[in-house]
Amino acid sequence: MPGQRIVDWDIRYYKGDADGNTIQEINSGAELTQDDYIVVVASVTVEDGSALNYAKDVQWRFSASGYDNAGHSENVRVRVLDENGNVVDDAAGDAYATYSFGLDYTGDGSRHTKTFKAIIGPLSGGVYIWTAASASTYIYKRDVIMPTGEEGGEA
Amino acid sequence: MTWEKVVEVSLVPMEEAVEPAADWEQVTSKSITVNVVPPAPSEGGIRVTNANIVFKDENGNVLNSGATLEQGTTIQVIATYTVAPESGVDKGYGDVRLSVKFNGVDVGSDSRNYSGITGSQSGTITVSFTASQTGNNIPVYAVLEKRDNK
Repeated sequence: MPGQRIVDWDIRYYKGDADGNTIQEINSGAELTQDDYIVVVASVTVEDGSALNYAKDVQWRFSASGYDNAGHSENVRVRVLDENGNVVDDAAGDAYATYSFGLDYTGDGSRHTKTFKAIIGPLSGGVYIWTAASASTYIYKRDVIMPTGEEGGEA
Repeated sequence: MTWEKVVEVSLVPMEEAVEPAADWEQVTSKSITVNVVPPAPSEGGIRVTNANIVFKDENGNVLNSGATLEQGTTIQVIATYTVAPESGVDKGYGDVRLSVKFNGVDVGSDSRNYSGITGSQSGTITVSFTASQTGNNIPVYAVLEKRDNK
């Protein structure tokens, strides 16, 4: 059996505040005010296999754009918080904020869930006054080959 | 001949395009598009400033303390003021009332209702009554009050 395997993931969007507190889960079409923030909660669960061959690195990427009625777009500030609430990346004008995490390997078949949160906003606009905003979250993985293992992996 | 893009405009927000680094494999992704609207205006009470009350006889002459009037004279009590939303709110809701007493007896009152005013505006309330009693130093008392409805 291979080493670590990603067995579950979840991405949820919320109406929230500047501190990352969630108020209400939202879907596309939700109406937010210029004072609101979008809070993303994204988690990945990894299961340890029985063979010591390779582990996983997991990466979360969060991006967001604001739009006005004329089709202008701007990047929205995105801050990524770790599990302790510390800001680990702050993309004020960049295309996205990212955070990578190496999951510890135990080889006992246990499952480990890592959750990261992103605060997107404010939605008050930059050069343009936004009337819409979009946010995207991507979760990536890559295999990390252990010294005693075989090459390869599975998600 | 190929076409070259000059400008691209979309009324529907375009999907984000984030390319992973070469050695990363995408597990999942999820996007959301929301509408952004101005925040709802804050609501509260009203603020009344620059208030003034004058007494006039039926000919429009201003009456002061000590004035002598004939019985049956109509007295006008006129209050002028400026009303605006209370400090820190966008919309103000409330009432302004003028009440008049003649020799300790209520002889009239009138009020104005303000609902959702967004800026400063002037107001006038007039109450008229007839001086029905005779005597010296009869007190005429008028008060302008306000109350908040939010």
